[in-house]
Formats: sequence, structure tokens, C-alpha cells
Amino acid sequence: MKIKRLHIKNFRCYYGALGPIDLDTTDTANVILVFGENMRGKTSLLQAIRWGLYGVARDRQGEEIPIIDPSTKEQLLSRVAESAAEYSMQVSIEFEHDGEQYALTREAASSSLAPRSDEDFLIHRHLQSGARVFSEAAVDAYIQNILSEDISRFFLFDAEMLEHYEDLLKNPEQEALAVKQAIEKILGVPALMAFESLSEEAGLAEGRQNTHLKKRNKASELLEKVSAANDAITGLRRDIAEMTRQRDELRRETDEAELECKRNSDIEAKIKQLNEIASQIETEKSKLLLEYDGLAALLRRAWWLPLVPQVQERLSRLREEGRAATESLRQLHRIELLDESISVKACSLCKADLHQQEVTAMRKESQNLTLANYGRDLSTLLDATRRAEIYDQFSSPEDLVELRLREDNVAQILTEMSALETREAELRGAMENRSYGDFNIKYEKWQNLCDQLRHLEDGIETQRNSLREKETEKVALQKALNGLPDADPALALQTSLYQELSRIFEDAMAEFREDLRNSVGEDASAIFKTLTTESGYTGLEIDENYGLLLLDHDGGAVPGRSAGAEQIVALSLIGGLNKAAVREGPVVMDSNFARLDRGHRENVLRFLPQLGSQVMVLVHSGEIGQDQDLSEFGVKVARRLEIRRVTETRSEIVSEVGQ
Amino acid sequence: MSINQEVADRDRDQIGLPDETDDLLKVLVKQTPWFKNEMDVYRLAITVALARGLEPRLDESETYTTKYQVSSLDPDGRLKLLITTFAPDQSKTPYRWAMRLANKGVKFLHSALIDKGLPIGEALGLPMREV
Repeated sequence: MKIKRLHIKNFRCYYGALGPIDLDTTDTANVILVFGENMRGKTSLLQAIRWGLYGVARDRQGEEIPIIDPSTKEQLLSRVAESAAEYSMQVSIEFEHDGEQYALTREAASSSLAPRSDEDFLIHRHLQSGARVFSEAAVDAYIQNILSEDISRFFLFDAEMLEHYEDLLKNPEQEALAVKQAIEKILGVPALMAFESLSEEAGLAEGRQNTHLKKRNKASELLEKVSAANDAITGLRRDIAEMTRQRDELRRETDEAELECKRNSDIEAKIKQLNEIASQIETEKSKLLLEYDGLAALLRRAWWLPLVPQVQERLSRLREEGRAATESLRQLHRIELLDESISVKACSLCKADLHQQEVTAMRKESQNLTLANYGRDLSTLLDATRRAEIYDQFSSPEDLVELRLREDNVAQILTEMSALETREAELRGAMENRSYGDFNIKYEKWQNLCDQLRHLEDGIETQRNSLREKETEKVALQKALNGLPDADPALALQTSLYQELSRIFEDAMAEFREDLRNSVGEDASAIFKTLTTESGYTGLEIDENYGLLLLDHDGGAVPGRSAGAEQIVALSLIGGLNKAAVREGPVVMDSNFARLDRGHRENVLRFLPQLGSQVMVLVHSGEIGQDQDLSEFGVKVARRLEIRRVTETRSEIVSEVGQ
Repeated sequence: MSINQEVADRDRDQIGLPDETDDLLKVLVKQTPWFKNEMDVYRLAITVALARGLEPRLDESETYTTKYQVSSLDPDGRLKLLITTFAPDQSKTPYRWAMRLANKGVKFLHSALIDKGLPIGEALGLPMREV
């Protein structure tokens, strides 16, 4: 498919009828650059193409954008058109496929005076190729056949979401499988599965052989065994087919349930926050209990705590008394020494004679000391000491410190808990009208469906193993039958020929799939080496699910890739797939080159023309320099368009000057 | 000396609380996180009453129901020592005094912690932390 022209009417920021926008490219100049500053409508252009082709446009969370949404959320119908009561929007795509020209138009229109939801709109599809007009009911199926929506993510892609490609391949099992199937669809694998009819032919030949032997009443025991094996095989195949049907249905339900959960992802985030808060409250409660236990133990151990302030006061007074009594005793002792020295006129300590002057001074000192009259004695001191010893037992300043500390901790914990509870109440309040309970039910439903899906897939695998065993048994039995003297040699030859062919095809398919995957891996690796500026990386390695591992110099996988590296790896995969694809589609890339450094950006730009037969890149002026960047691949650029702002809510697409 | 006087001068081996106060004690253990058992509150109530000067009336007519042996309540004699130190007038019958103090203290603690919801430190009359 190659897009030639585009017409847009009243789609998102494109009000009124726009177009035809010429998007034709040639083999030598296959790149279209659409410049537009942020918020001008680059993503809307990509969404218009998607909606035109498939009738669905999604936002970056993968949610389908409604045609109209009375709330402030996104909607497809131009807000300007809505204000002007124009409830009709249209996208027309003129394209070429297998040499034929097609014109596809999709229109959503409402006859209601004030449509409130998508149910108020009628969708019209029109597809025409030359004189041939397709019935409206056949349009979607025909487009899906040309470029299936499943694989469109590899053609019409939003580079903001590039890094999610790897996540898709790495994470949820069902999604990885779905992506793998979509990739194999691009690569044309399903078309080769027709070899399965060979085993049916083998079965028919076997049936004829067995009828032939039955008519001759030969080998009845062997025939019964073959018949039983056939019955078992038929039963197993029927079971597998039924289980596969159930699985597909279940997978659809699971996808829907998952989407429903994603739609309520803000509630999920709030629930996560609530769980975190609940866990924090539990932690605080545990801390609080510890503090309470500590306080209870303290009050049991130091039951005299209420008296501690008084004890300390009395102790301090007693110490003061003790100090005074000690001083008094010291003075009394001094007076005794002085009086003794005065009476004998010699020093009572060293016995040296004293001069009259010294005696006078001593007398004066003694009189002064006597005048102070402390009146204390040893018994006072002893009493103070004894009482202090008693009070000391009940002083426990460290217990008082512990009590205050624990009280502070309790207050702090209670404050924290109160804040958490307020936050919890706010969150619950915010979710009250958003069906918190419903979300839980939806989430559980999704989880249950995932479990059922896993069980069903396990069951299918078990049945397939049984089938393989039974088939092997039947082949051996049939071989024995074919080897009987009464067997029809032509039918025996037919049976073994079909069986052998079927086996050869089966092996070849497995080998082809692996070769194809390796080829995609090698191409992606080669593209990666072209794109990357990091000499430390030696390439990419592809895994069974088309996931890509980044390899270092020693061939080891590089963990934890940056967002920029993810983008380069994803682009490499898309490049590899497009190279190996049996179906060609226009590559429309809503880029985000700003995430790449200059070196990587230059490499990516140089590689763009090789990404597909028609490549449309939506960029802002900061991402591609008009002069320097374009000098590299300017000749490959077929057209340059610009999205211009008309008003805040309205844009238009024009060819750049000189085009 | 009359028999009554003789009884009054003898200290008690068992002490308790009036039934009404005992109910308050049970509430304190049940409704606050600070106490693991009733004896802890009982002992603390005595020192609270002492610290806050909640002097029991000597002529009170309340009937006490025995709760504890003093040997269990005061195994190391420190309660007796504390009472005789802080209330030397009651040094002859410290446990009799302790029992009355407990009655006053439990009522006070119930009023402070349950009725007024004061923090434990404040209820015990301990000075606030210096800022």
C-alpha cells in the first residue's frame, strides 16, 4: 500500500475540509517530511490515517479516543466543529495497492442536534477502485486484508511509544504471543500453513487402505487398533480445536478486561497509593505499640516517677545543706586550730613560735569565724547524707528523660498517622464516584481470566502432546498394516508419501520460521550497527518472541537500556521487519528525535529512506535542521509539508514554500 | 487504749480499693495503652497522690475491698520507704496511708487520662520538656 492523497474534515485540530494533501512519493524520493511545532497536530495527522483505515484512533495509553466526549477529555471531532454544531467528520485516503488505485472514505456523522456519545453517530465507509465500488460491509475486511490492523503498529507508529515495543515482547505472555503472531503475519508465515492438507490426504489414503483390508477380513486386530487410534486422534483434534476456540475467545475477553483495567489506571494508581498508605499506617501502628509497651514497662519499673521532680528538688536542697554543713565543720575545725595556736602563741600544726602580729591576726580571724556562727554539727551532715541516699533511689533522671522521649515519639507517630489517615480519606473521597469497588471486581476478573487462559493453554499443550503420541502410535500401526501381504501397495505408497511430505513440510516450516527470525534479527542487528554511535555495542540478538537483546563486546546482553537506546533498538526491529515483510505499507512515524543525541539523530535520518517504500516522518523544527540534517538525505525527500496553527484549536497543512 | 484505736494504729497486711474506685482502675487498664496490669496503676496512683498532695481524709467512711498483699505490692519495701519519707506523720501505718492515697490517685488518674484525655506526662504532673 502506498498513500497518494489525503483529505481530512473536522478531525481533531483540523477544522473544515483540508485537502487533497499530496503524499505521493517515488522510488528514488520516498520520504515525506511533515513539520509542525508541538501541539500543532502531528499526532492528529497520524491518528487521522489510522482512523481512516481502521475506524479506530488511540491515545498514547492505548485507549480508544471517542468521536465525542462531553467531558474535557480527548475526542476525535474537531472542537471548533462541535462549537459550530457541525457533527460530521471525514477522512479520505487515496492509495495504490498491487498496481490498483483505491479511494477509501470513512465518515462519522450525527443527525442529533446535540450528540453526547459515539452512539449518536453513524459511521459510513466507502471504498472504490476504478469502477468497482465495494459493499460497505466488505470495506473493513478488505482493508484488513491489504494491511491488517494487527500489524499496523509496525507501519503507523508513534515513536513516543517505541520503547513499549520491547515491553510488549518481553512482558505479558499473551501480548508477546499476539505481537509474535502479528510479526509472523507481516512475514507471511500463515500463508504457508496450508501444508496441513497433506496430512489429511495421508489420512484419506490410509482410510482406503484399511477399507481394502477390511473387505478381505484381514488383520482385524490391527485394524481395530488403528480405528481406535483414529478415533482418539479425531477426539483429541476436536478437543484441541474447541479449546483453541475457547482460548481465542478467552484471549479476547482478557484483552478487553485488561483494557478496562487500563482505562481505570488512575484508580489503580490510587489503590496502589492507598495500599502504600495502609502499609505505612500499619508500620506507624507497630512503632506506636512499641512506644506504648516501652512506656508501660517504664511506669512499672519507675512507679515513683510522679515524685521525681520533688525528689530532685529535695535532693538539691539536701546537697546544699550538706555543703553548708561541711563548710561549717571545716570552719569549726579552723577555729579550734586558731584558738589553740593563740593560747600557746605557737602554730598548732608546725609548733613554730608566733609573733605578736600573727597572734593578733589569728584572733581577729577566729572572732570573725565565730561571728559567722554556723551552728552546724556532724549529726546534721550525717542526717542530710542519709536522707540524700534515700532520695537518690527515687531520683532516676534517666527515667524522666526516657518518658519525655517516648512521649515525643508517640506525638510524632500520632501526627504522622493523622496525616496518613487524612490522605487516605482524601483518596477514598476522590474515588468515591469512580467505582472503587467496581475496579477491584474488574481487576479480579482480569486476573481470573489470565489464570483461566494460562490453564487453557496448558491444557492445549497437554492435549497436543497426547495427540503427537497417538499419531506416532497410529503411524506405526498403519506401517504394520501397509506391510501386510494383503495390503494394497499403491495405497501404502500413497500413505507413506503423504506422511513423509507432511513431515518434510513441518520441518521446513520450523526451519523457515527460524531462518526468517534470524534474518530479521540479522537485519535488525545490521541496522542497529548503522544507527548506533556507541562502539561498545556489537549488535543485537533476537529471541524466540522477536525480542531483541543488545550485545556488548563480549557478546553478553546489556541490561538496563536508556530510553534513547530503546528507541534505536525498536527502530532497528521495525527496519528489520519491513525489510523481510511480504506486505508493504506506508511507514508513518510520529517521531521523537529530541530524545536522541546529535550523532544518533543523524544516523536515524540517514537511514529513514530505507525504512520502507514510503516513509512519512512527523517532526518539529528542532528535530531536523533545515540545512545541515537535510543535506544528508535531502534528495530522498519527496515532499515537505508544514502544519500551521490557525487558532489555538485549529491547524492546517500546507506545502512548504518552494514545493 | 480502745480496741478500735489499737486496730487503727496497726498497719495493714492487705490493701485494696473501694469498689467504685476499683471500677475506675479497671477502666484505666482497659482503655489506655500505658498500663499492663492493675497493680502497675495502683502503685503509680499512690505516688501521683503523694506528688500532687492529694491528702486523704482521716475520717473517711469508704469501705475498701482487699486487692493485694502488701508483700506482693511492695516486695522490696521501697513503697514503704517512700511514704515514710514523704509523709513522715504516717510512718506508723504507711500501707494504710498508701491505700488511701491509691484511692485518691486512681480517681485522679481516671479523671486526667480518661475524662480529660491528658498526655501521660502531664497527668503524672511531670514538667514539660524544656524548649
